[in-house]
Amino acid sequence: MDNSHPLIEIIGISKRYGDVLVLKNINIDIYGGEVHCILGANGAGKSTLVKIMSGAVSPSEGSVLLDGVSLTLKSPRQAKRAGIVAMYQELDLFPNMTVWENISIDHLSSKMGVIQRRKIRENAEENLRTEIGVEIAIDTVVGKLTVSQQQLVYLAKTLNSSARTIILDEPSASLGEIEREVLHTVIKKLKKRGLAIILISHKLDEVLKISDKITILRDGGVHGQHATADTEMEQLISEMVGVQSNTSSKLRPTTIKISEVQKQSRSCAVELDHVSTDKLTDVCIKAMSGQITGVTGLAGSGHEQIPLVISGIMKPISGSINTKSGVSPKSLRHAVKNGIVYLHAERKIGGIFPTMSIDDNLMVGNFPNKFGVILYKMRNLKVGRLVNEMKIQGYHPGKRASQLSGGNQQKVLLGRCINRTFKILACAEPTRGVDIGGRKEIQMFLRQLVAESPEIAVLVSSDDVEELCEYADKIYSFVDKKVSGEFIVADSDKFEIQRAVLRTC
Amino acid sequence: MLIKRANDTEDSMKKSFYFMSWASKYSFVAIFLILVALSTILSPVFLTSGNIFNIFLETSILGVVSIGATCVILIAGIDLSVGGVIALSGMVAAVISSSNHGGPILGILAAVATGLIVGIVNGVATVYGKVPSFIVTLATGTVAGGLALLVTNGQPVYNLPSSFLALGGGNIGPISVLTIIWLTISVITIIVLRWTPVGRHIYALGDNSYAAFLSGIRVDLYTISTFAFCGLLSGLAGVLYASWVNVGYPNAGSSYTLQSIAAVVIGGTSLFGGRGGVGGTILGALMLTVFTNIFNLVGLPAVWQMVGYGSLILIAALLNHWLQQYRR
Repeated sequence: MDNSHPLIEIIGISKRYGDVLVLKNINIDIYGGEVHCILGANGAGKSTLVKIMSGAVSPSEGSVLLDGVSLTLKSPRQAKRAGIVAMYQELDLFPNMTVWENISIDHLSSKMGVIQRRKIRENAEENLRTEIGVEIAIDTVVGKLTVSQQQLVYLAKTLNSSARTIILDEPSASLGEIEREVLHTVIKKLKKRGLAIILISHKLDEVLKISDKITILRDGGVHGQHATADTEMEQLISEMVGVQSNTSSKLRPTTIKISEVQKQSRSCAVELDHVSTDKLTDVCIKAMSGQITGVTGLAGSGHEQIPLVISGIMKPISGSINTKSGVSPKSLRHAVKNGIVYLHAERKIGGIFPTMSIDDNLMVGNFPNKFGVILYKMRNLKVGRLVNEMKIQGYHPGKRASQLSGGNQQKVLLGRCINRTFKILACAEPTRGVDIGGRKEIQMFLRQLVAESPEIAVLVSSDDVEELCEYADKIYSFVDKKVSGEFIVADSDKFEIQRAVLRTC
Repeated sequence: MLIKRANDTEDSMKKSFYFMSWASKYSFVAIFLILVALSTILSPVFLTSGNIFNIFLETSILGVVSIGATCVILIAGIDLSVGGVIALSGMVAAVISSSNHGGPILGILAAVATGLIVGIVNGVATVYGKVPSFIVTLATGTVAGGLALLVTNGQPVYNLPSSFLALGGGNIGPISVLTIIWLTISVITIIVLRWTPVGRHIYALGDNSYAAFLSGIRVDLYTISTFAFCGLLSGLAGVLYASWVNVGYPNAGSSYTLQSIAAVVIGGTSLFGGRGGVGGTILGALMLTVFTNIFNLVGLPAVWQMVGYGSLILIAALLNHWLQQYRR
């Protein structure tokens, strides 16, 4: 294998969305037979870069060379043909087909137009056993496998193709301990064959263990490139986050400083007392009324579960949820009735009613009515008030919700929450997919909410630490399903919290 | 001069856009008016009061069934059990009404209850069995149709009591009782859908059921109730049908299943749920009858009637889809 020339060259790639420059002049060389990891905090531009390499997004400037030949990647299909395969978190497997059919779907060898089932099946089985080294019942329908197993099947499928470059986007986020080991072995095998492997991962210990080179992205630009052998975790964290770490924390990289929680005159609105679910382990947190409490972490670290638990959608296996009023939510409806409202992270899936009017979208769940008849005058009054309060732009009576921009849709959903009588607002990613102006307005709104009504507690889960620091009062960081730190935002600095999130224990 | 002309075209474009966006919401009104205009041209008898009352009378039973179908389709379901239920409940009503121990009132109540029960089964199996309503109602409709035959071993029930027949044969002024029942239920349903939280939540459920669940709406209860309502109306339609034709037929009503769905779709309700309403369904059902009526008045053979009938459904659906781009 000729390793003197890079297999993939990324030359001067920039990407602009409107006025925002997401990627600035990125140059990376990736050689065959190496695992190249791309690191970066949220919003550093990793996912855009991956999308460009896999053909899902085309760059504003610059080019990608494969073996010195410039590629014009217009679609993931073209990228696949060229030999670049991306493995995202959502796998494109066929859930109703068997494992062996999925592995060999791209080249079904046939004799006179009839596929040779037995031969293909045997090949697939062989492939799975020798290449991946796991036993998965080959006749099982893929939809019945666990996500981890599906990822291994997908790997086998990828190995069965003529791929020369594999992009792994957060591959171990949903893997169990054993599958993670398998993944690492497979990656090593692929390396030996001279494939280039591009790894996107947040898990620094994993990165240090299996990668050869590391490129750090920050604010859309390349901030540093290192050979893995010459780097340490502290250095990576500093470069990702932005400030040189002091040597004292380097000595004890896994202990996290927990800030002194000040005695608050405010009361605790909701408390999770040693709560465990299948995605949380022994979590204790408190959300005070009159405050915004943030929970954060990497994808899959467990912080996403907190709003679900508080609003009764996920029931704890052990531990208890205590609210000020003394009820612990048994179901979503029970929670809603007791003044806990929930905002879903994905507004398209769990929020917006696209063909209904904005007015109805705001009122759902709590139409002003008398004897079961809607009082339209009162409704219009309420809608008008909410539109003003939430600063919903582009509203006019009867307009469909799907015609609003993402940010304004999000404001509609928050408006729906506050249209109810509530004491606790549990929201997941309230600013996701919202432009910068809208973000600020939503943050301002949440701040105002707790300032004006001190009996209300707001709990926000978000994977954007930096943003959370701007408007939360207290932040809990999560690592591996557990609380890794508790911070009073006023007393701690941003970097400290970001470290707590990144550090894998 | 040039600028003025540019403004003019812009204005007229705006106007036509507003017209199109209105049409996109109420395309069924346009189709209805076109159909009525054509019919008026084709036959001088069409627009006489006698014929109009007749059209309303002939639409009534389809109309009643279609109200329930509209609600089910609004929550993105479908009810194929309508025809079977009509047959079964008609037989139940006929047998009990004409028996010595029963009587018309008991017969009607039993028939409506039969429909209600099938509806509840439909809802429960859809919600808790997680089987698509298409399959559930196909099955229950077949069962109901079979039971209808079983009641009298396939024999029709004649000689129904005259008080029972008053329902289907009676008039109040020039308007038949059937029409009054149909329009009354329609108006009540329109009011419920439009003016009550329950109604708005049915739309919400059809538009995005997960979001509805997260908003604290009792999705399961609403779904079962909607199917139950549709079953109840099918049961009532069975009674009305038996009373109208003076006979309890075990094979009655099979054509109503697809006709009710056609009426709903022509009336502008989306099969994906969350969009449409009973107002459109009234016109949709009327259109189907007008179509048959004009063919009869002009004296075209029944074969062409079927071809035209099918084309009408297709054209209405295509037009409706095409007009969606103008929706504001």
